[in-house]
Amino acid sequence: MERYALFCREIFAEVLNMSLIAGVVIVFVILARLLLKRAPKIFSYALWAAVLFRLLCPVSISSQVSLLGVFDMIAGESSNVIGSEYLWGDIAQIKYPEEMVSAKELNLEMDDEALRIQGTLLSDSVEQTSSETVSTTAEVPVMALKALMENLAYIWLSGVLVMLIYGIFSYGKMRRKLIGAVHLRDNIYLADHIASPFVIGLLRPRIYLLSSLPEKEQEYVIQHERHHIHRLDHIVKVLAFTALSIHWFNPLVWAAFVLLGKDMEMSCDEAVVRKLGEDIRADYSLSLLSLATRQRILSGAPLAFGEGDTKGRIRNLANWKKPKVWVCVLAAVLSIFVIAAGAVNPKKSQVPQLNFGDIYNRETEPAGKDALEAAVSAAILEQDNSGVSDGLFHCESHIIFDTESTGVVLSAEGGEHKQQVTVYALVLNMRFGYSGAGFHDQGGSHIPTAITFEINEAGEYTLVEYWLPKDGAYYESSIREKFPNHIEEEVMDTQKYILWQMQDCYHQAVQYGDVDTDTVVGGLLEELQHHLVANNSFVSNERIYEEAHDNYAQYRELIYYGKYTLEYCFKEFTKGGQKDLRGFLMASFCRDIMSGFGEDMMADMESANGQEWFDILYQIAGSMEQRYTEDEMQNDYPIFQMVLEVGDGYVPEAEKRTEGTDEIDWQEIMKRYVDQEKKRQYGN
Amino acid sequence: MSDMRLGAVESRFADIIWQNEPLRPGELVEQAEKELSWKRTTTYTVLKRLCDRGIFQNQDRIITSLISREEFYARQSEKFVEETFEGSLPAFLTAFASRKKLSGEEIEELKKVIEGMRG
Repeated sequence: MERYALFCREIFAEVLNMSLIAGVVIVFVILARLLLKRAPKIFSYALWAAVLFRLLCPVSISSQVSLLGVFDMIAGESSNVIGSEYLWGDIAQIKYPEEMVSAKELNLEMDDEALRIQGTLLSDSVEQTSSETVSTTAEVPVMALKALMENLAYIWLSGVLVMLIYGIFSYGKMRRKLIGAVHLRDNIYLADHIASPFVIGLLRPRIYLLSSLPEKEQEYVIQHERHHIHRLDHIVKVLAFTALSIHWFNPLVWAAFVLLGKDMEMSCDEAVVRKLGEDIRADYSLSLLSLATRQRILSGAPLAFGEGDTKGRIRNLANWKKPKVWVCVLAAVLSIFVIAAGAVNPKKSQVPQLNFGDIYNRETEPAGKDALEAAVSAAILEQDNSGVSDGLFHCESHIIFDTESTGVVLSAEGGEHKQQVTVYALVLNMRFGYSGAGFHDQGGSHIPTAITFEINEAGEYTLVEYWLPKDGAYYESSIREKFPNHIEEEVMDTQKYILWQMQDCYHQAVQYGDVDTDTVVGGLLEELQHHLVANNSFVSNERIYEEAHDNYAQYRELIYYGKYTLEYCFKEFTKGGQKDLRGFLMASFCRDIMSGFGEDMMADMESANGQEWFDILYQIAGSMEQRYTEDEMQNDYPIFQMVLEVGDGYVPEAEKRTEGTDEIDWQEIMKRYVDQEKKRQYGN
Repeated sequence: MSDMRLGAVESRFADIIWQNEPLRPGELVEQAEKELSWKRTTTYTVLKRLCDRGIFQNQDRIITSLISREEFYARQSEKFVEETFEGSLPAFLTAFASRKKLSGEEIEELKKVIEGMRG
């Protein structure tokens, strides 16, 4: 049952996402229709293809030009979205589909996703700690939103069922009415008691005419219906009704359904007129009118969908002129643009994903590396060394933003096929000298680089060009000139990537020198602690953090040690009792490193001391362990996985003290955290 | 009876009964297949419909009329055909015209528009 509820919510979130996107496309199509008012209606009709596609297909194609770029403009800088889909969709893809969807869905202006993740994670761990504490978390909005979202999902599903049952019911009713229809010729039948001639049937569409009218009078009707079938309108109509059933809650979709119907009919009218000649317009209109008025006299039944349709269609025919070629060309260009731009997602500027595993779980065997990656590494190191032997360890870390194949080039001699590929990367070169237990930073460079290789038939890479930006004033402009547009901003934002790349280089240096990192990290921590105490900066927590962060190289180095610092700190924490300056500093390093890898659920959490911070982290890791498989933990939350591995068997002090009782201290800690979160959300 | 009405196709079917009554269902099925190319089930369905409207009856497998052809059409001309098209057209049909309520004024106006097209 729970599984089913989750499934419903996920589907519903996806539908909301599609509905929102389609809504934007519908607005654009309606605007484009205004421009196309004078053009043949077939163009307006064609526009709906993009809307139908959006309403029915969850997947989509990306392109530089898209109407949905408006979302990016609205969201601006504040949305540091990770996924590739939109708004609700990207949240649904994160590992917490149910909670996250609800939280994000009703908080579009909210930009701090991490906060939400904290909230949900916490409520999750509370649930598992003790059932009594659930009452305290009931006030956490996330929980309420989750329940609301679930209810909404059920309401939506009921609506879809109602629509589908209505559809099936009225189809069945119509089918029953058609029993006894008489075959006239081809696929044309005569039926009693029907309101209007129509086409029914998906695979073998049949035209049903009113038995009460002589066949001769129905000539135009037959032409009209035949054109519907020829254009597969009967299928489009079923698709449109399916889309309407799914998106019944979206008023824009109802509007689209009505307008699509109008455009379909009007373009069909025009097609018949084009085929049979302008002169028939009057007679054609007359049969439209006679059918409409006949029904009025005969039925007096409630109004059908799309009021004023006959009127609109007759007026449309009255205004009809043989379309001018240039109007058609213009209209075609506009339609194609709107359809294409409406059906695709905007291509995001490429942001490489930097993961913990990319540094620490990377294949160390060069053979295991991708051939291109290996060629890039070799080219960078060769460029850096330039034949100098300085006794230092040279290493590099690069992030490839894009690669461009310059295609197959026919060389002059022998007609050999040669291919070139250019790699656009952000390259960090580092040099380290070893002394004592560790190594020291001996300088390096961090710079956008374009490297071009030639690939021969054996798949071997040969360096053709190693491009570096110009110095000084021309630095930026030379990059803009050389790099593809969609990555030039990103590649110049070097600060964003330096941490990851430094950690990468430090890792290589550790491996190369077989460094005992526990000794080095412990030493650095001691030095830093010593300096801070000596300079008497132990005033407030923020002050210490700022002081350490801004003024001491040890702090930066400890961050660069990345995984090794985490390992050291986690080990120290599992020994317990880290409630002083040392514990505070260790918690700060861990937070900073974790937020660098996107596992920053705990980054903003205030806690009384470092030990308490770790104890909560450990508790959360424990609840995640129950929730995810080991593979998922390893891939998505490697740092939490590390907490579990290092802390295996660790019992937090608070638990130790109250063992056998009802773990009152944990509730206290959680409650304090929840209060703090509430204050953060609503207090400010 | 307000729903005592026949569509054009139904009239052809009804004529078979009026001309041949009393007749057995088997004969009717045969006739209907010949004249309207209906299947057995179709014949029974439509017969049931017309029986429900009180025009015919099917008792002890003998079909007879409850009202003669002349009487039926006399009543029809007195009362203007009260055909009702229940419900709206299902959305998944592509129809030549959808049902609209046009006022007298609108009809006049549209007629003028149509005349304009001839000019």
